[in-house]
Amino acid sequence: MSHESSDLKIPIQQHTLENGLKIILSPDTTAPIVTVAVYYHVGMRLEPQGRTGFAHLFEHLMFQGSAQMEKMELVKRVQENGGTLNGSTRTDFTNYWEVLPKHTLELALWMEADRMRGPRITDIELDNQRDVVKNEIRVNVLNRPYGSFPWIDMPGLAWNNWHNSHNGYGDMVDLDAASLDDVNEFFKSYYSPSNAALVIVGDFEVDEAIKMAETYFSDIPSITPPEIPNMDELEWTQERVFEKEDALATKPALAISYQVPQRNSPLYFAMGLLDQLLLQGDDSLLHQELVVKKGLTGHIGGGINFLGHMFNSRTPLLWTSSLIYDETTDSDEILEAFDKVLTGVLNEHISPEILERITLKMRSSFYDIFAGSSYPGFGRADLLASFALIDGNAERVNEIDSLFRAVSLDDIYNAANEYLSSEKRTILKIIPGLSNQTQEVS
Amino acid sequence: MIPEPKVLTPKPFVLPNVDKWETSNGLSVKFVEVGIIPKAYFLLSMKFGSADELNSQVWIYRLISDYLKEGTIDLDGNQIADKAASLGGRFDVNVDDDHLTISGSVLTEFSTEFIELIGNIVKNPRFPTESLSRLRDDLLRDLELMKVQPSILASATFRQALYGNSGYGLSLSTPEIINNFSTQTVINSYRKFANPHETKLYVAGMFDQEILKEAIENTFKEWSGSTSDHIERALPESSRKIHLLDRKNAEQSTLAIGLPVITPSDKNYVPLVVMNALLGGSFYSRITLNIREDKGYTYSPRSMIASHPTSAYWFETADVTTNVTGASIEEIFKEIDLIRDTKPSMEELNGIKNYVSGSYIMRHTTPGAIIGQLAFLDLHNLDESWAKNYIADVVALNPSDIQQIAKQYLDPSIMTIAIVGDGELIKEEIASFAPVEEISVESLSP
Repeated sequence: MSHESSDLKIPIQQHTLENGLKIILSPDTTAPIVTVAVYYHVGMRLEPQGRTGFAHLFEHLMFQGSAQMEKMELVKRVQENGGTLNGSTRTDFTNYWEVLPKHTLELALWMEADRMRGPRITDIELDNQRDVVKNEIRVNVLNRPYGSFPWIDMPGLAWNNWHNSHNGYGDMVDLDAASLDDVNEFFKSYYSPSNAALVIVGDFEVDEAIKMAETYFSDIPSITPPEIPNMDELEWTQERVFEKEDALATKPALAISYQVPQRNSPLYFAMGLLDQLLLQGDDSLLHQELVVKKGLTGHIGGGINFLGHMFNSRTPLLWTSSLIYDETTDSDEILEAFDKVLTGVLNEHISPEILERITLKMRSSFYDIFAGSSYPGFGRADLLASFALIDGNAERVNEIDSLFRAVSLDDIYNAANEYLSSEKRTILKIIPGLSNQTQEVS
Repeated sequence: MIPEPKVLTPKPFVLPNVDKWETSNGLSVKFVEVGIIPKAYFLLSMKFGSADELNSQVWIYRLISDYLKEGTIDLDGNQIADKAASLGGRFDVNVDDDHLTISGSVLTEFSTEFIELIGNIVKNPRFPTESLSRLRDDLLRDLELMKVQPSILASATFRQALYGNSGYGLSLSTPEIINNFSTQTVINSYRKFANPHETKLYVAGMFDQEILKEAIENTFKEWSGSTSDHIERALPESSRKIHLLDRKNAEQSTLAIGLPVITPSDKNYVPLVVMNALLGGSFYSRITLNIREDKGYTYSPRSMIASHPTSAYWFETADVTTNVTGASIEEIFKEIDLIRDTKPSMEELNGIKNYVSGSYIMRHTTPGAIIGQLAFLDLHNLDESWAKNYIADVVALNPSDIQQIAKQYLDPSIMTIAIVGDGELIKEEIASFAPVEEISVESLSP
């Protein structure tokens, strides 16, 4: 049979309201449902210093009531109309979404517009959600082994710029310090239609949906958000090695991070393919060397962007590999095997066959983002919002395939040599121990 | 302020079309074409799992699930991985209580080659001797890592309390058992059950039905395999007792509270699902509103029904701050008592009925969810009418049904309470809820 590739063609219409709200519509009649997602262009990187975790806490507060809805009423409305919902906080965004039967689209837009006008909360709701967020951090970080490894630990050690390095999930002391004044200030600065995107995916009429969005969102006043601070990082010129004790861990672990090329720069897409070549899947070179050939670990994992993938964050970002191994194995043995793989890619061009394979893998895993979420339509909405807010054009989603296909053997070689040499990396070793101390060892 | 819009009336939901057929040697296949993303998603499910393990061989099927990736007669493990990747495909082999599954996805244009590869793995596994010690080491490492994860320990403690030292009750193996596994045991254990008659294949997404049908028939037609008697599944029992696993300095107590309930083939199962969604199984449920949104004791409380073909259990689980362990248990039981003692309002019930119906529709929209739903129906031998009538069965419920279901199935006087937490700090306050039995991590293994 022929292997003519079926290209991805996501239907997209874009529209901007006078107040600056970007609207992206992507109809799909696969099922009688709609996904409504509102993305605010503020995430962990922009929260105030001394208030780590504030963007995340604020996300929780957006479910605690607004002008026309009581605490949790939005959740109630979504559920009683047959829908499901969630929110999340990432490096550059905070997002809120619902998936609902198609006939409730207008209600979903009304609710999102109502909370875009601002949360209506008191200290009671703030204190309650502070406790909830603290319990979230306990269950996912503090009360389990390897809880902050490497997703919180590594940025904290590798990055020099506070915006990139601080713990955006939340520090207990900073969470305690958060006040209603902080809530108002943060809202006024960043939660504005001009700093947001509304995405609708699913079974709806485009013209009707635009009309509805105009009805509910167009009178929301807009402000100009503060200028984005400098988030650049210095180029690394010397390998750094850190050791951290994890009181709950019983086995050592290792993470190795490199900076990736700037988003959309010529080598950025080559880096995406290098990730496929080196780290993703059982055919990846690191898996075959460290897991299959040497038996040093059962799994080596990682990738680009701890809180998502290479498409839904701005750079700077890290490309990180991490693994847990036995206490009888020396970490030098792991690094030696790791370096053997990296050196191969740094010294020689990969073959055209391998380039073809990793390009196919990339395409396949890119498609999985659309189908893979437990919230139907959300994967697509997330990509559309990311391309709209970061790159200024949601249509870019249909160009990604061809951008990866344009990567050459030279690009792969050059990206490896510019970004993956050993002096340009940060290494973190987790030592099973009694305390939670960290130290730089070289 | 813009007033709230009126919600329109929903149209009746029509289930996606499922094309069912069998290969000439009895492999059951289900196809669902869905979506606009050019990929096909697969699940091949063989009807044996960890509940078919002898106590002296706990985790043998976990080992086999890793071992199947190590090669076929004509390809070694790396060649399989390279081949799958060159098709834009990936797959995982997993084992649960009752199944060994191969699941994965592939770019639409390579669907047939991918199914041939999966078929080759199933029919002709190599189980190379040289992989054995590495795979055993991986299991030993996994075992040590599982023994320090509170969520895994709480679930293992709860399941053992219900099912004892039977297949469903034993979550952890031991180093001695793992070190005893041989390649011959692997081969025998796989051959014992791998056969087309007890295997189901599901495909959903974008693919050419005719071409894939032919490829599946050609790939699997010469697979014979044998069938054997399965180990009889134990039935769960519960009594009001606390099973405490001490975890020094734990910042939270991980709770699992519940008891055996009916399986999906029972006529009261759908009402039980609705009752569960109202009590603890959704974000806007009573227990979640209470211990999270009102009191802030926890982040992710939830209740659910877990089901096997012959038994099922309901449980509420939550990781609560250590100093409110007793208070959390008290609130959970208060909510259970309330739903047993008082009918919910019509408004609350209608909201939950819509939520359960809507969730059912969502489970028929993406390839992965559709495959999950079809596998659920097969696991419990539920026929088409069950799936077709589901929403009508939900809509028909009234408030007294919900109270009745709670009364009948959620008897707090026989609920098992599993806790993983700091025994020294919580023992006194939890003792008021039930007699406390302290267990060790070692007791979770045979």
